[in-house]
Amino acid sequence: MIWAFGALVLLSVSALGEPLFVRRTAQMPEDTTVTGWRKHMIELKTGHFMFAADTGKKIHAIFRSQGLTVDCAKIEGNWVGPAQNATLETATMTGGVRAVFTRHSQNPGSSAVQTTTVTGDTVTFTNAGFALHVIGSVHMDSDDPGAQQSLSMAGTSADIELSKPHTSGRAVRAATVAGPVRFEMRGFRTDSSGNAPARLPFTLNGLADRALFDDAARTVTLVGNVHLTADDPNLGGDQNVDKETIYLAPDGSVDRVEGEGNPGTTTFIQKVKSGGGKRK
Amino acid sequence: MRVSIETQPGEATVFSDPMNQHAAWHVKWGKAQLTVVGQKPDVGTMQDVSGELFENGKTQRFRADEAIADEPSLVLTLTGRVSVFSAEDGTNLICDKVVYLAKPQLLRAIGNVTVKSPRYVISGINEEMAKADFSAIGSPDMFEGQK
Repeated sequence: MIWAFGALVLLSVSALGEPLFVRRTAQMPEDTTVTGWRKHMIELKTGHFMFAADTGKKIHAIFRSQGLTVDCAKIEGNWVGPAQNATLETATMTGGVRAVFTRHSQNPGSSAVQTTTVTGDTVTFTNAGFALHVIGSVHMDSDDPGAQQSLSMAGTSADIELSKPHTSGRAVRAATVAGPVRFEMRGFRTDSSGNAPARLPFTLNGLADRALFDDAARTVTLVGNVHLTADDPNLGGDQNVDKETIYLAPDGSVDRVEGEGNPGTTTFIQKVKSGGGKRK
Repeated sequence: MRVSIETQPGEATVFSDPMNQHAAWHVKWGKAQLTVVGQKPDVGTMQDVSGELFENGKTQRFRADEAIADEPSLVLTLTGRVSVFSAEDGTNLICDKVVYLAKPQLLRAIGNVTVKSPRYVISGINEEMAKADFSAIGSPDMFEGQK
C-alpha cells in the first residue's frame, strides 16, 4: 500500500498556510512539516499529493527522515514506504526551488553537518538513487565543514545524485552540470614539501561548457573552453585548456590536476618541493 | 401558522432519485424538532443522530449531536462531535461539522478535522473537503469543479 505509514503514523494538516506535520509515531518529533501552502490535495489511497502556495509566495517543507528541506512555489509527488519508514518517493518542485539536503559529515570524527543546497527553476526528485534533475538557473553548493571541503557548481541544467540519508561519505555522489558552468572547489591539502607535513587551504575556480563530478572515481572533469584558476601554485595556477580533470585523494584533497588540449596536455602534481608543478 | 413539535426517536431514508432506488442516506434520531408551517410538517433539527451515507454501493456510518436534512438539495448537515466511519478501510473522519453533498458525494468537514485510518492519522484541519469514500482530501477550492 502506497501510504503504508504504519499504524502510528500521524499526519496533521492545519488551516490555510499553517503547518502540516507528519509523524511516524505520536511519541516521535514531527517527521515532516509543510507550511505556507494555499492549496493542497492528498489522495489517501495512492499517496499522491500536491501543495501549492499563493502567487509570489512559497511553501516550506521539511522531510526530516530524508534530510531534505524544500522551498518552492509548488510541490507535487508521491509518498511511499513500508511501515514506519515512509519516504518521499518522487516529487516535482517548481517555482524558485531551493532544496537543502543535510547529512553527517564525511569525517567520522566530526559532529558537523554536511549541507548540499540545490537551487533551480524546476527540480525533480527521485528517491531511487536519491537523484535530482534540475532545470534553469542551477546552482549546487555542497559544504562539509567537518571535512573542510566545499564544492559549488552553477549552470543551466544538472543531474545530481546524492548519498542516501544517514550514510557516511560525501553528500554528492555524482553531478553533471551543463553550462556555461562555474565551478569552485575549496579544501585543504597536505603539503609535505617542508620539514613537517602541513595542511594548506586551496581554492580552485573554473569555467567550462560542462562539468562532471564523480565521487566513486574521485574526479571532477571540466569539459570545453575550460579556464581554471588555483590560488595554490602547486595545483597549477591559471590554465586555459579543452579538458581539465581534477583527481581527488581519498580524503577529498586534490591529488593532481590534468589538463588536455590548448595549450597542450599539462599535469600538475601536488606534492612537489617547489611551486609551479611539473609539466609533461 | 408556525408550530414547533418535539418528536420521539425515529428514522428516515432519503433517496437521490425520484424512483427511490438509490438511497443517499439513512438517519436515525433520538429526538427531533418538527416545524410545521401551515399544513406541511418538516423535519427541522434532529438530535442524537446516527445512520449511513451511501456512495456508489459503499456505506459510511455516521453519528453526530445534531443533523439538518435538506432533502430537495440532497444536503445533510451534521454538527457536534461528528464522526463518519468507513468500515471498508477503517477510515474515520472526526470534526465539528460535516456537510454531506450527496449529489457530488463530497464531504465538507469543518472545525478540528481529523481523519484516522489504520495507516495514518490526519488531524487539525480547520476546513477540508473529502470524497465520500475517503479516497482524497484537499482544500475546498481543489474540489470546485465537483461541487
